[in-house]
Amino acid sequence: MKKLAAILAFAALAIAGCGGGGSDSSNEPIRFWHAMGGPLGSALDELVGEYSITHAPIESVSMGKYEALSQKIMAAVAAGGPPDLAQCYEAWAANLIENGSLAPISGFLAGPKGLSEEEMADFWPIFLEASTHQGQLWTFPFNKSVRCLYYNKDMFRAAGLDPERPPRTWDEYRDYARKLTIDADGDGRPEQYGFASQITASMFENLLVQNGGSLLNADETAVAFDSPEGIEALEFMTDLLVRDGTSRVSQGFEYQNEFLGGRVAMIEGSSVTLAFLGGKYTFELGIAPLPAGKVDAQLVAGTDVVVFKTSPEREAEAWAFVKWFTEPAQTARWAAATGYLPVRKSAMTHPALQAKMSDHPGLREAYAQLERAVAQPKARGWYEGRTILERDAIEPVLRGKAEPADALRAAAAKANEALAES
Amino acid sequence: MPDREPVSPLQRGRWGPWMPWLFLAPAALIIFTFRILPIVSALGVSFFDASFGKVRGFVGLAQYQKLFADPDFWQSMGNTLWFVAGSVPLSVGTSLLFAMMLRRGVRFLGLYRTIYFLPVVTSFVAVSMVWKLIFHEDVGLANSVLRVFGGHGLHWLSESTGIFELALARFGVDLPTWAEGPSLALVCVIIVSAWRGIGYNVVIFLAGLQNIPEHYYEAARIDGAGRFGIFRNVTWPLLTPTTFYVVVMTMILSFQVFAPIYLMTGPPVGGPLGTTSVIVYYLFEKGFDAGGNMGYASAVALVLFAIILALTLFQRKVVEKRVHYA
Repeated sequence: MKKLAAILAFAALAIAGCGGGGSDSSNEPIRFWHAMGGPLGSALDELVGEYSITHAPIESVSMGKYEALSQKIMAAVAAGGPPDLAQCYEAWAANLIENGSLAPISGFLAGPKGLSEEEMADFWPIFLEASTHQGQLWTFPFNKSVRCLYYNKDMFRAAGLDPERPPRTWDEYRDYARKLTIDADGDGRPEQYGFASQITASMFENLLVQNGGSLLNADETAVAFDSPEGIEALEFMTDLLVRDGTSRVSQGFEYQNEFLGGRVAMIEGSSVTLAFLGGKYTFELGIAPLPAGKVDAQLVAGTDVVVFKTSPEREAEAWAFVKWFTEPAQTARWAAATGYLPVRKSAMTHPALQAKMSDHPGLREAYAQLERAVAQPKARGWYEGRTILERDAIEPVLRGKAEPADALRAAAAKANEALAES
Repeated sequence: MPDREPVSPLQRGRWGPWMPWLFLAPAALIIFTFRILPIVSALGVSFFDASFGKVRGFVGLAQYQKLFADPDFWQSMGNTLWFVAGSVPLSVGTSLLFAMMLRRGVRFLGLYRTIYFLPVVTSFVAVSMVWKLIFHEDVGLANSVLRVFGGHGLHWLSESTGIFELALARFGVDLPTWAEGPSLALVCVIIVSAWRGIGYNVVIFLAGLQNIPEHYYEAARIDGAGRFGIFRNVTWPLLTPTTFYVVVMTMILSFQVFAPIYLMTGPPVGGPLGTTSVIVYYLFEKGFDAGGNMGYASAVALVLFAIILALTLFQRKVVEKRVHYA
């Protein structure tokens, strides 16, 4: 009898003990959730480690990929235990802001540990524009990138093309791809492809803005990718990737390996792709801005960082790390190690970045694309809208199951529903 | 002294009558917390607009209306049915065949059992990576074999055309869309998941076969039954309880398939052209990926729950009548 009572008492204690696990001790290190893996993760951990020693401890947790990060943030916010800092896409921020989960960056900027006007003017305006929601800075530029063209200079030479003059227009793009395709045995399966890509909305999105179109309308209430500019962009993409027979459409990121393996002459990638290609190629690598359309424009990719509402002390500590990370010296080293863009203009003169640009001269021009870059949509429903664009328009068209105009219109109708609902 | 029911020492004393309940409590608590409660809460959430961890408002049956109006839901449902229709017979049939072969005093029986069981205990991630390579269009084993025999390589995991259409196209037959069948990509996934599940089913079947008393076989042989006769009249009927269990379990698991779809198809997952998007992946995407609408995802989960429940009840009421419990 006594034994039983003792066991029950013990069990009750054990359960109570479990419940008390989530203490809110402010001595715990700042928790930073991100999606950086591979070479990017190592580069981030190095900087975080340095900050932890010289300033305050930061606990860096990689979720491996953005989908997983999004899911973890969502679950953590729902459970009332968000991290202190996290990487965040423009379209996720809207949800978090509406949920009241974030501490606005504008608040920190105005505070004692803020940034002066001169310092703010040192940030690329496009990044700040991307981080502004309803007139306030809610997020802060962290790891931003632009798309660029990677090409095999040896193959250019073999095809009689000038390796220092990559394609600059859409017409040249297709023309180069044709010249770089080799099908010696004529079996219809080229031994060398001019171009390769996976099926992705990113490529279309850039073609669209280059063609003078935009993803959403001005007040972001409806999509605008089914415009004549959009249809033309998708027609071009289909020509380059499918109809010309000069390109390989791969599953996932395989096209990067095929480029590395010397079976493909040109690929598109983010400026970060360089970190993944690093040291694995045996040919002379060329980097260039994307061939321009009617408009010389570019979508900025990559994520921002957000500070979650916790306690004023923890929020201040979290902001202190963001401030340190985006200082010219750190952002330059981060950019040099990963291929992300330095978020501040003055960082461009940092020796680490200068060294990287002299290793890859094309990077200078690729980075210069920032001057004419456009921000990603911020509407909450765009995350779903983009999925619809990819699945209902781009994939069926590239697989030969639909025509660009019809597919874009159908996808637009569906994406508009998603935008209206969110 | 009148006969009394024997009372165990545990049932004496003040706590006596409660004792069994106390022993049941830990398991019951776990089942209630992690099984029953989530089902009830999902039912509740499905009547709300709950996105991004925030319940926004009561919407009644709107989630269900939206669900039944979404062509993507019906595509996923169709794919799931094809998946079940393909993987259940394939998995159960091959398992039974292997179990029959293994039963007859093969040498190194333990070794074979281990080999067949290996896929079950191997990580699905590793398994998927290997099979993806096998189905690779350029360097994969599947296409290499086809080419050795003079055929053309197939697109396997990136082929969205239905298999019946693919098979009949060379005879100039063009099937209507509804009759095209599951895409080749989905068939690839069916093969892999059936292959992975075989080991488990083989072990269950072997246990079932060992339960059949040897004297039935002896009697059958004395009566002059052949190999097929013995299988038809002795093994099959006496194995029905096991077969029933295996079919029900495989069917339930097939309806809930997620991992091989998530790991092997796309990107985008569920591709090409959504022909491998099954109902659980559809649920996952709606609940976690695109804006995270938990209300909608819960509605999908309950529809799936209802389907599995209905089919299992049907099997118990109708199919089980033909099960021969010895």
